[in-house]
Amino acid sequence: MHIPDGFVSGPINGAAAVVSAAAVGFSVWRVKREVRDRKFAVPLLATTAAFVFAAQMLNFPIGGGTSGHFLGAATAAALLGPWSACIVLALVLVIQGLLFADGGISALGSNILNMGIIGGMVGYLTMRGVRALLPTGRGGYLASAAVASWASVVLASSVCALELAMSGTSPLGIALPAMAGTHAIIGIGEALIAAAVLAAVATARPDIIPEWANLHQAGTQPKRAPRSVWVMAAAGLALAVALAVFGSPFASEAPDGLEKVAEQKGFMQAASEDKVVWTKALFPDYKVTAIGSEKVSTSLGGVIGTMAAFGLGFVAIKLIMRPPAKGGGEKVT
Amino acid sequence: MEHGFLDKYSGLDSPVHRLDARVKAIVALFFILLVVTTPPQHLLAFVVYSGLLVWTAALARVPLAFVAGRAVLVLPFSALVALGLPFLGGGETVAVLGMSLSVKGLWVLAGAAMKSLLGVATLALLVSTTPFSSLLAGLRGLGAPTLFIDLLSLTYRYLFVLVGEAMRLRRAAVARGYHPKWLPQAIIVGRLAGNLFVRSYERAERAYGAMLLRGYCGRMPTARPLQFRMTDAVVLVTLLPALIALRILVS
Repeated sequence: MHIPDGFVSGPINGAAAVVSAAAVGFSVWRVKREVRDRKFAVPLLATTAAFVFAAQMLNFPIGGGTSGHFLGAATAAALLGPWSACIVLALVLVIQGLLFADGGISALGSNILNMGIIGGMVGYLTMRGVRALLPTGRGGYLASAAVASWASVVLASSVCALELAMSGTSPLGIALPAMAGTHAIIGIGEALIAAAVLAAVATARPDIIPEWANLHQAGTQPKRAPRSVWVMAAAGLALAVALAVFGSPFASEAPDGLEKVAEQKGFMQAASEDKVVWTKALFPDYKVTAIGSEKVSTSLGGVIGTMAAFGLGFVAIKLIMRPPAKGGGEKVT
Repeated sequence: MEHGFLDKYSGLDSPVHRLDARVKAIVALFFILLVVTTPPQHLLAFVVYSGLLVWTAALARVPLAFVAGRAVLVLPFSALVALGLPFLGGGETVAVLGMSLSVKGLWVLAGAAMKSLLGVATLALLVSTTPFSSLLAGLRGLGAPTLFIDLLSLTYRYLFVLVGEAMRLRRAAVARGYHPKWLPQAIIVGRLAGNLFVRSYERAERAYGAMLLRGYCGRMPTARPLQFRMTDAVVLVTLLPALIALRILVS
């Protein structure tokens, strides 16, 4: 799922880089404020990033002689929270891009968006949402982590396909089924691994996972904190709006492009000339440079809109979620 | 995993190695941006780009085979584009192996493949001529947030430790007959990974204690200050305009 250089067009990479930089910056700010001892966050985030990297090297079979590997975004979010997970994934992706030829430097923004923000943060929201529906306790907790991990992998790969399609590199009708399909299977492995990781950590060091500790302290009493679920949902909505806005300048060139995709069942089999028409309409004058003033202005509008949506979400969180009152927390500057 | 496996040529000595890390980072990033914004039809440009990389590799005495070996790792991703080939663009078609493929689609595939190859080759050259610690110092010098650079350097430091632990865990499992065939057996990988996470967490706790003992106050000290010499200035002042001129000339 690591996009190399040259697969996603400039404006999309640019917009994704802006969103990713904002998200990572905001996450750093949150972690600095939230973590019990913020200096400990430095070695912890670093070893966790190294952990995600190392765990990605443990392959598992997905059948047919091929193997998939762990992504770890949703698991990191379950273990350390969404903000830390976003930073951890950004660290992993920067190192992979610089040293391992895994993901291009010009596509770094897109990769952080797909795996750090969609995979980690949205994965966390999914986990919170699913957990509100399931019975409390160990089983419900692990099940919600598994479902969220599956969803995060499928969602991240779908957004990756969307970026490729909007860049004109691969038509959505091909990229989306190919990416989401394989990752729906890889996601099963991801879900099993996530549940096993959390179960193992909960057995060895239950104090690490704050929510797990809460679960035990509360005993049989369900502890749901409905307000924060709503906050998370609001943040997710803000993110979705951001995504929509970010895609709009490209989608708007063919207003019904997405509707066409929905009804393009026959597209894959037919593959004849008349079906190709919409692809052409969706990217009518695709050029890889494509830095015409019009394109710049539309994508600039998209970027500004995205930032506005992000700002809105930010303000919403600030307003609703007052800093938790911590007694005797170490204050380090 | 051996430390130094990744940037094993970064300890060599050559005019390229002696350049300031900041200059190399700027030039590499600039070069990649230039490459990805070049339309694939301008084949001459890509030939010239490759030539520049080969020349730099020769100047730095980094084996070409190493750079090329790195670069081909990205090719499998192109399969996704190749899959969509017959459906892209439309218009003219050309017969390849009995299939009629759209010319525009082939250009998209060629462009993506060339750009990703050149991008990876550029980065491979960058990390082969710059020790990672210097590269991070360079990025910090260019204004990257200090905290993020500290995190990157610590991550890099523990990468080898944890990959080593992961490999030991896997070897232990294999020695006990772990030979997975089915997807549900991924759960065993999960148990290994859970074990690995607890180890990494406890390592962070120990490292943090050690850091505090040594007077850590939220910021890493840097050992080697960067030196911006006359050569660096000359390289920067000549290379960037030359690259821009090249880009304009070939298109």
